[in-house]
Amino acid sequence: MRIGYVGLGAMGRPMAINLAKARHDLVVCDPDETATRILAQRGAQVAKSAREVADEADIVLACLPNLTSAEAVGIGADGVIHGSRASAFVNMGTTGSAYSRDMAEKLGAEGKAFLDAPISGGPPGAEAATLGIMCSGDRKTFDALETALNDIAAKVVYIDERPGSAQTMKLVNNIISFGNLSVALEAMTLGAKAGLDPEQMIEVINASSGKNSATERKIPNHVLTRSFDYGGAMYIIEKDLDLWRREAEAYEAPMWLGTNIRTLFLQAMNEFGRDKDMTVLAKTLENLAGVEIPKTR
Amino acid sequence: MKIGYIGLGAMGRPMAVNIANAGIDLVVADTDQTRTAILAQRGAEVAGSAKAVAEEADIVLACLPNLAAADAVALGAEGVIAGGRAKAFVNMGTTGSAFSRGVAEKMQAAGKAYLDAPISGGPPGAEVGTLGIMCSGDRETFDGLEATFEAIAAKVVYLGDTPGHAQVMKLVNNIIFFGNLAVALEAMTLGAKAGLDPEQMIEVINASSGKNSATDWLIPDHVLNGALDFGGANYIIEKDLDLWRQEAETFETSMWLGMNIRTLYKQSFTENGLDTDITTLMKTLGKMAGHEIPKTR
Repeated sequence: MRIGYVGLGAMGRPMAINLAKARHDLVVCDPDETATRILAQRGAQVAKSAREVADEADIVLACLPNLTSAEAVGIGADGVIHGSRASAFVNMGTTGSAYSRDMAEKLGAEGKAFLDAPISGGPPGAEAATLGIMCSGDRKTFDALETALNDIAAKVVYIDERPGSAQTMKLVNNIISFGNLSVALEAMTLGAKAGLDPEQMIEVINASSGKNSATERKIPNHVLTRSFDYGGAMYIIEKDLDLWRREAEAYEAPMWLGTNIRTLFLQAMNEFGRDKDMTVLAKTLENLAGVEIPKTR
Repeated sequence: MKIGYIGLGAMGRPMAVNIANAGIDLVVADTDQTRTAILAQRGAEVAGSAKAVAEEADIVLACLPNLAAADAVALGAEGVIAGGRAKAFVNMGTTGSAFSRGVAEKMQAAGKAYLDAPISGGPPGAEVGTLGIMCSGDRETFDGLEATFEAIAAKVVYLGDTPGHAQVMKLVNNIIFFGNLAVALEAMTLGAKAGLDPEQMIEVINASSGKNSATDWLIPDHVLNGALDFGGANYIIEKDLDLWRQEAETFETSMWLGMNIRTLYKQSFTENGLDTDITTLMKTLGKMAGHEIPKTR
């Protein structure tokens, strides 16, 4: 089976490399020639467009950074929908569920299947092949792809047959992840201002009921070092927060805390820029509290 | 060495029982004679007041349910400060740091040492002797309590010699814990309304970046089974949130998210009652969404 990969960015490139390492037959494309060259060195065929990839591969995976490119790659003039060989398109980006339902419908009209497969774990997870992949949509495509997905992920879950379910699932996970980081950081600025040692705070919290993904990894490894280099850029967070807000509106669900979390991240983007790491949220909270969490590693 | 214990309530009684069972020389006091009788059966001496306890014991521990009682027990005319033998007073309640600083100063002026030792783990932890204790203040007193703490706790941390630090640490941990639950429930309420299976949501989140203490054990073990029986009563949560807000004011930090979290819990207290469990928050969110997270086990 030939697998196509469109979009060799922060997530796509390490994913494609891990697929190549696992000896899958790959054809890739990306406007960035350094990226395609790296994959070519690992034995992948390089194509010039999503359509060309879909002429060569049986199933085409795509991970794009925004909805515009995700749409073009899926159903644009040079998109997968026009490829002769591909029977399925797999959306690995975070696009929100409306996009997925739309893609599934349009691809279905052309006899192609659609699978939603958004990922979690960031660039570190992509590189270490320890991603979480949540899938929904065409079951046959999932079954055919399951081995390959397990080669690049630590956890692969099939949710249900509805395109979009996996997107909603991812956004639910992400808002909790953003909440973990922002609630923990805000609380730690209070602790820091009261004179508590950040290393002790982290140690106590991780042995107590406050433990979360941020107190376990993001804060000790990327904030207490003052390196702010987790690898999730603010503009991606902004996109995820916008998509989550649309899901909440679509399903008419409350978002008291989620809205507040989003506002804090937007404040951080305004202060420090959208190209900065998500962990610079710490600096916004520090500014609000009038204290800096000291560097301890 | 003789240990004194004042306040034999939901936490104090099981703690004192465990201390007595460990063969430690114990003298206790409580206004409720049924409680003191239980301890007398275990070989503890019963005294008629905090002062009387402090006339008999070397180190006096206290765990009272409100600040007024805690203040009277420590500094009142019949309080520990007036007892001749006791060399140290140990505050095991969650009182906030202002209480600690005030009492420590007055105790020190009276030639007595002070140790903050707030606990976590609730009545279940107190019963089986697996509490977490965070301490700050007099080091010698802390060292002198090694055997006593071993009888009642699984984890003991010394944060340094500043009275109040352990109080802030506990409240910092707790607001993150309350946030973990609230953010996860709000997000899962959206997911449930979008048709996602709660068991799958939990499975995915715990393998992804959203994992926190609530998704790890609180929601699966106490919400998804419909039991809503974690054991943290809303009136305790309310007290902790009020104390946390006072810390925020003391240290002049705005705490946008924490205040939002507090408001959401306040809504739950009003709707579900102060005597119900912290997890009843899920009903408040379900009401707002017009869709509650369903029972799955």
